[in-house]
Amino acid sequence: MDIKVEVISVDEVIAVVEIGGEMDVFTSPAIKKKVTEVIDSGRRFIIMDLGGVTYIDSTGLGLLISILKRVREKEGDLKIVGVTKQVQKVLDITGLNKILEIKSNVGEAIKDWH
Amino acid sequence: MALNNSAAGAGLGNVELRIPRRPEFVAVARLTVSGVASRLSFSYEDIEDIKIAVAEACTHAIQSKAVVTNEIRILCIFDDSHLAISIGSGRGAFKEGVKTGDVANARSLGIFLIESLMDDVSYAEMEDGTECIRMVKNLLR
Repeated sequence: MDIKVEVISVDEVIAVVEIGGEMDVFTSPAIKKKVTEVIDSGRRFIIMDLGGVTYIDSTGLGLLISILKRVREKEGDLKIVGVTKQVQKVLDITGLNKILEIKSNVGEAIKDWH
Repeated sequence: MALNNSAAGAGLGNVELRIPRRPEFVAVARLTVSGVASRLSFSYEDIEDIKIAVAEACTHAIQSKAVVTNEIRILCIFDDSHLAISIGSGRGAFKEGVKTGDVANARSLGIFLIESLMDDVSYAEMEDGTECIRMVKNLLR
């Protein structure tokens, strides 16, 4: 499977999830499983680092929305960093750039929660 | 409208691919059509658009509960002015008036993306009765 999911726990409630590879109909279920485990472990403030994402489609976008819903249910939040040109284009076309909060880097994303 | 392999007419030709209706083969379709597009001298941005459209159409077919066949058929017909890609899987997945643009629904988001990224999108039938989505990208010279 052409996907890499790395989880970095910042503290007891914040985690950075680094994604590398393609976010599509094949890989999204594995990413969702990993992120769900992270959220269920108590880390409800999630930063999705998409810097290594080479391709995203509607399944990947749907995954980001489902993560946002899940953390909001737990009174947490989701921020996106490392947005590549391809990812940004898809976010812009679909209007999800207005729903998903995009930050320039992990430091900026964490700053809002401290 | 019925599509068939001879529809390429006096154009450069056509490429046809059949893949299993399974998620792990979507990338195969995406990369194959990307290869065709690059041979036709589409820009890098256009090729990226085409890749997304192909993947979205295949994903739509995979996630359709109406489809009974286990195969997705991808037909690329091209000449020096455009690339037309027809993607179908049995009957039921692609019909006129597929709902688009619902951000809470990845399937309708997919069709919305296709309509945004391609120059012309329509619904048709292949010569064997397969219902398909037909997506055209014009080649700007």
